[in-house]
Amino acid sequence: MKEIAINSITYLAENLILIYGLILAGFSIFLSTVGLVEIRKYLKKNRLDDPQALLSSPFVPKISLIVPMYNEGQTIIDSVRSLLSLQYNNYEVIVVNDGSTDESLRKLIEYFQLVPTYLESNYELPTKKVRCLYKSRQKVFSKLTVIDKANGGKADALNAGLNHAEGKLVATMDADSIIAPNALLRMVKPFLENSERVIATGSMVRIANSCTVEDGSLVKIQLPKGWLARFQALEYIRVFLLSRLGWSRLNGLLIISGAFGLFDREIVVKAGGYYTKTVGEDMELTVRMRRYMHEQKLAYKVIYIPDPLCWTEAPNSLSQLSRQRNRWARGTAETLIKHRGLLFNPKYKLMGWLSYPYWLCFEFLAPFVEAIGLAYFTTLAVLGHIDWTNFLFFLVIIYFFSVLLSLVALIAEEYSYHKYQHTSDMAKLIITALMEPIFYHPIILVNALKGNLDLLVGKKSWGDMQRRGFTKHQTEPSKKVAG
Amino acid sequence: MGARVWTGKKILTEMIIAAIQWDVFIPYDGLLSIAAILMLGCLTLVLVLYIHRALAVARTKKKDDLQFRYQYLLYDALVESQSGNVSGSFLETALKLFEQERKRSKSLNQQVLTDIILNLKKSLTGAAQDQLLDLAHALELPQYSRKKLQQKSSSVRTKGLHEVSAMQLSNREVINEIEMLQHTDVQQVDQEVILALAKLEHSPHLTFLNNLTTPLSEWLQIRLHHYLRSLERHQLPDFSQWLDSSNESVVLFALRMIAEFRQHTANQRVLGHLTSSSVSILTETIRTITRLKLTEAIPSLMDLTRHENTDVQLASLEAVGKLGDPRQVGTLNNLQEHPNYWVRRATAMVVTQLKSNVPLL
Repeated sequence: MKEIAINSITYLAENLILIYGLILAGFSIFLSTVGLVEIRKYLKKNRLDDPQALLSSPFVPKISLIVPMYNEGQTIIDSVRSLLSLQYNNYEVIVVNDGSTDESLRKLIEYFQLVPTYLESNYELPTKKVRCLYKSRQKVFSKLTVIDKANGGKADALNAGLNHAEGKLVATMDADSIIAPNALLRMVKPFLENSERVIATGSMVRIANSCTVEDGSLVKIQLPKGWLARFQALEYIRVFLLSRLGWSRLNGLLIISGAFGLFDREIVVKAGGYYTKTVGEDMELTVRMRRYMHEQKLAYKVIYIPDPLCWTEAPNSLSQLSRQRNRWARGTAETLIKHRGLLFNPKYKLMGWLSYPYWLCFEFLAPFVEAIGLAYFTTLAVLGHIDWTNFLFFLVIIYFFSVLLSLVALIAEEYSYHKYQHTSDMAKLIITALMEPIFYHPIILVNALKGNLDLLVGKKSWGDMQRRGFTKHQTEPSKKVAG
Repeated sequence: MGARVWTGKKILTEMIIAAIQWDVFIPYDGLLSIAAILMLGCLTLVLVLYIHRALAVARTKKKDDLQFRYQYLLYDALVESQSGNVSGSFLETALKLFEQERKRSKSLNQQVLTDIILNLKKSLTGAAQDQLLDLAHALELPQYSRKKLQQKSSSVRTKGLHEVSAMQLSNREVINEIEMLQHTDVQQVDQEVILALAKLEHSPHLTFLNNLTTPLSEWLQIRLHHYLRSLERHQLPDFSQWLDSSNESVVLFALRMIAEFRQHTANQRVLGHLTSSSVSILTETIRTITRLKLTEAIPSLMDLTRHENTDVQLASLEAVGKLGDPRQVGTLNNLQEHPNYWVRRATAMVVTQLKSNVPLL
């Protein structure tokens, strides 16, 4: 037995990367399968839904939609106008101006005829100083509140919004995201139909590049024209439609995207609100809320719905993409480090035994393992120890496995929402799936490594994201989003 | 025993050795096979994608064509029956047209027809709605939907329940069949059964509330209320009968319905709930009192503005703001120093409201 144990350890050490890859592949297959089953169940369950019952009900919970804004002058008027006409009868929109240096606030004040209110500011969650709360003079904009505060970052702005949110539920979104008119109706449903307390819901985020946007609303969906945005479109379909749905089914979801999410306000506040010292505040909050529920021994659910309710502009250039992925990598690492106590901690059940280890091993460590593997391979190649036939087979296997996962995601999309309807879109997406492992994956890998390196050297900034803007208000009625 | 243990250990050892040396069993040929399988898998998926797309396009086109044709026939029947060019009612004209259509295309697509009629029904009321339902019955669409109740798939059963109740197929046999579907493991079917039974009764008794042990979800409450709103007041049950239910969610539902349908006969029983120990019931009672404008509750509501629970305090403050008068301002002023931001904010608003003497009701 001792010999076997020694052999096993030696073998494991020699084949660590291979075993790692096999486990990762196993997880991917498992999550994709669960995701496929779930999407089918979800669609069947919801096909009879009559939105009229919800739309006209006086019993729907109030939702406060918080929109943090920092130099969004180009798009903010259209975005807010679109948000004020969502299909839901009990909600408010809270725009938090996080010390913008452009004309965002002035534009809002002028367009919506805002006036300062006498209401005092709330600092239940500590934030930078709130300068003023604005409400509109016009009854038609009575749902709108604008908070003007000193610059403190996105998380600080969201906390200020949470402090002033009247709703039992709070929805958070990016100012540059577009949400579907029925987004709140869809997102609120899990809160209403579950007997167990639902603390957060998230929905699928899609890429809006090349789509036509009019008055802040999406009027025509198109596959992104640029390759970079198209790679991301495919990546989002794969991640959101299969992986997150799979995790949701297991009740092990660790992230509700910052682009759009709906939360139980009471739990968010009790958990301490958004953490301002991380660039991955969305994941950090979800993890902390879950921790809070476990520590209080309360039953709960975090639910993800596959409806494409949020559309966002993806980075159009390599430098923008690089900054975004760098930030995501740092955010993930910061959250995992901060909540390291979860690892294999039985107190946190599935989150401690599966979700956290998965994120640690296959989200955080994956770029390192891949980099080490590449370095190891290069060394062996230089030393002439490569069995090229074997290597080629492995390469082909890995490549086709990646393509297969993307194709499964495309099947899920085709059977469910079928958003890209043009005849040529299918071919374009298949070609994208074939090219992704070769051209796009290395970019993501390098930036994830850079992000972790930046974290080591103490980089904290968000990095700029130059938005091209969806529309030009008052000058053009509609416009296609670049990319 | 010893031999068996030894054998088991040996087998285990062999298995471990085999597992750690799996690459022995997967040499080049094996790798090639895996690569080939994956490649074949990719090709198959591409094929599936294209076949599905082609079939979906054809299916959608066929469905759209049928929808257009059936809608056109219904419109034709309506116009002809109203023009007086043909003898007979809308029902007779429509039936004649659909009979011709059945002969022309060998059969009628009952699902498409059901969907059209049920969609159209939503936008009609009174006699027009009745005529449409008569047509559905004459075309035997409810029988078609009823068959779905026997299906294994819960989503098909749910659809069947929805259609049968919407088409008012309310004979005893069908109701028994629906009742048999109750208490499954599928929450969605259970909810649809409750709704179907409520819809098929002339005056819904909602008897399921008497014995409900699980929480009545907010979603079901919303859907029930949506249906109940379509009824005449005299058809509604007396919701106060559930005010003493041991199921908290049932009490909450009863309070909401009493407020919504202004059932003033329940006033005293509603006021009695102001002493409830449940925060949810207390908060809902305060809201019901506000909706029913029960000003006699103001002294109790003033007391509740000092309740230990913030939700109760806020509901009471809102109620006082809507039902009270400027005499309450002095007492409320103390709350302007309350440590809770929301209580202070609500107090400030209520005080301003009462001072300006603008009733918000």
